[in-house]
Amino acid sequence: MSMVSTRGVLLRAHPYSESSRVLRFLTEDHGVVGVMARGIRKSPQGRGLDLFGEVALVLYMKPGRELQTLAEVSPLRPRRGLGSHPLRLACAGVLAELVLRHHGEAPSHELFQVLGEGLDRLESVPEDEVVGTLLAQGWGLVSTLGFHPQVEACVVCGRSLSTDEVGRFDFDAGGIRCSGCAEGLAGPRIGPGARGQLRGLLRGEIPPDLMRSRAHLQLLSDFGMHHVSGSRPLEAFRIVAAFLPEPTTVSDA
Amino acid sequence: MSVIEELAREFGRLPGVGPKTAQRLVYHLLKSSPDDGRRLAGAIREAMERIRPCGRCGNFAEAELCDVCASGRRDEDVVCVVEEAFEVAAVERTGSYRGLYHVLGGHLSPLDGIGPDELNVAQLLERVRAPESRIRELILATSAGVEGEATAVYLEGLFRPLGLRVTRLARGIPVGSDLEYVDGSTLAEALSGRREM
Repeated sequence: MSMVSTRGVLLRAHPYSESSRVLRFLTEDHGVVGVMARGIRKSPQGRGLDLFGEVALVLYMKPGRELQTLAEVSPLRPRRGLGSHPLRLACAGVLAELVLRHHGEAPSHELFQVLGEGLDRLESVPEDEVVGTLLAQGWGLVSTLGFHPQVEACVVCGRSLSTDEVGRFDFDAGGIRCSGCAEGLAGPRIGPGARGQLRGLLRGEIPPDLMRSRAHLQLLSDFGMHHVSGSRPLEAFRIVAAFLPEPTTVSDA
Repeated sequence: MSVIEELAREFGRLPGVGPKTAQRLVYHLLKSSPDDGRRLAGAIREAMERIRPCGRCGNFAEAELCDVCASGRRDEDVVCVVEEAFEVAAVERTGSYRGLYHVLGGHLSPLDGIGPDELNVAQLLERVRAPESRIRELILATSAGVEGEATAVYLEGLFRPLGLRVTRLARGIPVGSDLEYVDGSTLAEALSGRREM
């Protein structure tokens, strides 16, 4: 058993017995780590330990063990602003769920950085930019996990998509099929406007005229379910939808 | 599986009871008189059969309404909104609250798929909108973490437009503690929530 120090973002916390918690962190140096925090619910240390907050951790780690043991924790960046609106909380939940469902135990400094940046932005952007920020950060996160969708050229024949072409999204193939290869495919239609917005989101930009945010969310949710979560629906997306200001049509993403 | 093992396994499912404690409980019971065991079994059976959620607030109740709702001596203008029924007991222990309660059944938790529809929010709306309602204030006593905070913000957005006074439990330095040992975020909350003397 070795003692390690690392930074971590708290993704999930479950009460365990009267005074303990089982915590799940994305750590900077050890990937996703499950931790048993004995007595934390009654200890002063537990007060600074908030969901999505960044902390400095000292852990007793033993390879192969499901739950490591918490020695010390101190808050670095609480991110309490994510509680200032339920939509911010739900969007932060989407990013956390994508990381948790991926089950990546391999350490990734880039993933740690992308998640932290996403949570920071969700905490600070104006309320009307929260969903756009989730979409940009969510696509950034799945790309960092290794699933960058192909939107410039057809995923089947490789032909560059023309500026006015309407294709369809092929989740299995991980990108857009051109009009010729899309025949009979049931995936969502992607017109030139939506493709342009998707390109912007993949660059981390929020299109100023982001339309049909529900359809964009559905696309990201289905893509995440297909590639990241092993076909299990991502719960947090449903909660995001419950807080969206007004419903728009889902067709023609 | 023997009867002893089965009983130990059942005790082991209780919070805070590990396998060794479960075994000790079983041996303690077996050394006690058979009447003690029967009394315990009877009390558990009766609790499980008779206790249900209060038809008005969701608190634990032995009848249609819980003791608080049925009392008739409570301040019906104020409702304290808590996440779980056992938190009613915590507020009651203070001895300084005389209003009613509403149990949400949790807090918003996107990763667990808990949104507004999964909480007892519709029932609270129904209570507030009922013609005989005297509710003037909601005290939001949800937990102090980001999920509890977001739940409180959601409820505030829902109930303030109905003309209700919506308040939140104060947060800050625990009674009797030294300022030096209070963590940064608690101290920040205490500073932002300071009051006139």
